[in-house]
Amino acid sequence: MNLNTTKIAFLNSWRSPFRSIGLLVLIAVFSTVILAGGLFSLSLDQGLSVVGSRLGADVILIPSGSDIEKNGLFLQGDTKQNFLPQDLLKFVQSHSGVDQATPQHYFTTLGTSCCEKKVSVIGFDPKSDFVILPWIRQVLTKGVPAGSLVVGSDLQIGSKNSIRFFDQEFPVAAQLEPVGNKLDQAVFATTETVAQIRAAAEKKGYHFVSDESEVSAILLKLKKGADVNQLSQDIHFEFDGVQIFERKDMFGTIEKTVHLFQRVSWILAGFFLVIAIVALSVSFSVSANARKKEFAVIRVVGGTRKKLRRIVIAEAALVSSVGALVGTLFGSLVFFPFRVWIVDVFEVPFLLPPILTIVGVYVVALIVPFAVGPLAASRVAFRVGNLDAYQVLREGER
Amino acid sequence: MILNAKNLWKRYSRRGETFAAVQDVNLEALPGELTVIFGKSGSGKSTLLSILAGLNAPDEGAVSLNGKDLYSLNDEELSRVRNLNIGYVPQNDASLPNLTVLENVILPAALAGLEDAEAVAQRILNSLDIGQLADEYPSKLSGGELRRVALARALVLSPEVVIADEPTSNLDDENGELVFRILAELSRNGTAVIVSTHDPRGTEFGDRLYTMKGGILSPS
Repeated sequence: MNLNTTKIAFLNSWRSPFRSIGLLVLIAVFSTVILAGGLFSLSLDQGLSVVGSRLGADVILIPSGSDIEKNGLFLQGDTKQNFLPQDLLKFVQSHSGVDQATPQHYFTTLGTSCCEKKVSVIGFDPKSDFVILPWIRQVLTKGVPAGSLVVGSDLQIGSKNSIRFFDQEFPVAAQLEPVGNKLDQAVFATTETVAQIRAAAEKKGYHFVSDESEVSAILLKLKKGADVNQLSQDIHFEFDGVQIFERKDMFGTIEKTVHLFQRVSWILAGFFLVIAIVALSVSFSVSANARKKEFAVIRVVGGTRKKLRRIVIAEAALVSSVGALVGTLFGSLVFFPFRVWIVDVFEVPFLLPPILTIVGVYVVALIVPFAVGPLAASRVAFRVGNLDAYQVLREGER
Repeated sequence: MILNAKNLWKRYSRRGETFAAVQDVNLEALPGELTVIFGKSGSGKSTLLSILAGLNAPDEGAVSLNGKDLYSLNDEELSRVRNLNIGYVPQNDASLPNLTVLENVILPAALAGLEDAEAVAQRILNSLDIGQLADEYPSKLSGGELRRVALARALVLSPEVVIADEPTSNLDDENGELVFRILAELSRNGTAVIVSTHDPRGTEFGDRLYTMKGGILSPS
C-alpha cells in the first residue's frame, strides 16, 4: 500500500466529504465566475470593437420619430421602415463639413410563401459607400457582382448558395465575417440589386410604400475639424424630421451597458476571490485546529515539519484543482449555450474573442482558483508544521 | 547501551511560577530490558518520556541514541530517528480518523518509504488480538483497541527503542496484562523498552524499576 503525501491528502479529503465538497463548491463558483465573466467581458469587447470598426461613419441621419433606433441600426441591424426627406442626400453631399455621404435603404422581406425567409435587407450605394464595402471586401475583393447578395455570418443559405425573394433566385456572392449582432442575420444588396428585388416583388403583386429614391438613413464621414453642431444646425434649418446622431451617441448607450457588464464581471470575480481566500483560510484553519492531534501523531511516527506542511498544501491543492475543473466545466456549460440568448436579451454586440484568448481565459480560470487553495492554506500549513506534537498530545489529557 | 539520558532538566511556567517537570534525570535503556517508571499523574513521567522519544527538547542535559545526541540533529534527521529507531506510544489514543486501522499502523512505514509493510502490520495486529479490525476506522474502536493500535503502530518498523506512556491506562485487567506481556516479549527479543505506568503489574514485568516524584527519578 502506497501511503504517500498525496494519498494521505486524498484519503483525508475523500473521507471528510462535507468539508471537501463545501470547499470544492466555493472554488468551482470562483472558477465559473472567472471563466464565464472573462469570456463574457472579452466577447463584449470584441463585439464592440468589430462593430465600431465596421461602422466607419462619424454621423448618421435618420428620420425623426423613426422606429429605427440609433443603437439598433448599427449594433443590432434593426431595419424598421421609415424614410428621410427628399434632397437631404444632395444637401449633405454638398455641405462644407462633409467628406463622404452615403445612403442606405432598409426593408424586411416577408416570411411568407413569396420569400424563402424573413430577413432584413440593407441596401447600399456601391458608388458612395464607405461603410459596408470595406467589410464586404474582406471576403469579396472584386466587389459585389450585379444581382448578387452578400449575407451575414449567421444566415443559413444552404448548398444552392442563393436566396429566393418573390419567386426569383438571388445568388449569394459571399458570407461576411461575424460582428456579433443582428447584422449577422441581415442581407446586404447594392441599390441595383435592391431594384431587382423590388421589380420581382412588383411582378408578384407586392407594392412598396416608398419609391426607390427614398432612403432610410444617410451615413456621413466628416472632414477633419468639421463642426458637428454647425452641420446639425444647417440640416435642421433646411429640413424637418431629421435626427442626427454622432458616433459617440450611437455607441454611448451600448458602451455604457458593455462597461457595466464588464465592471459587474470583474467585481464578481474580485468578490469571489476575496470570499474564496477568506473562507478557505478560515476553513483550513478551523480544520487544522480540529486535526492537531492527527498532525501530532504523524510527527510522533517520524513525519517532518515539511511533511506536515506538504499534507496541508496537498489537501488544499487537491480540493482546489477539482473545484477549478468543475468550475470551468460548469462555466463552459453556462456560457456557450447562453451566448446567443445574451445577444438577443441584452442587445449588445457580442462576439467570441480569438481562440488563443479563449484558451488564455481557460488557463486563468483553471490556474487562479487552483492557486487560491494552497495560497489560502499556506499560513495554516506553516502553523501546522510548527506545532509542538508533545503539547498537542498532552492537551487531551487535561 | 542504546538510549542514554544525562542530567535532563525541563522547566515550565505556570501562573507566573517556574517549576521543573524533570530534574537532573539520568537514565540508561539497554537492549533486552524493560524499564518501568512508576509515578503519580503530574510527577513528570510523560515529560521525561517525550524527551527520551525526541519530541520535547530538554532545557538542559542530553539524550543520545547509540551515541548520537538526538537534540543536536536537524528536523529531518531527528524525524528519521523517531521514524526508524524509536516507537512511541502516547498516553492518548491518538490516531488518524480518516485512515483505517491497518493504514494507521503502516503509517510509519509509509513515511519511511516502505510500501510492503502490510503483512507485518497485519501480523502485529493479529498478535495484539485486533487483526479482525484492520479495515475498521478508529471511530469504531474501543479505548482498549485504540491503545493496541497505537502500540502496533509503534512496533511496525521493529524499532530499537519502544517508549510507551501509560500503555495500560483505561484498559481492563485482561488487556492490560496482554499489553505488558507484549512489551516484555519485545524486550526479551532485544528491544529497549521504557514504560511509564502506575499499574502495579509493572513490578512483575519490569527489569529495571524507577519511581518519579516531583520531576526526580529514583530507582525503586
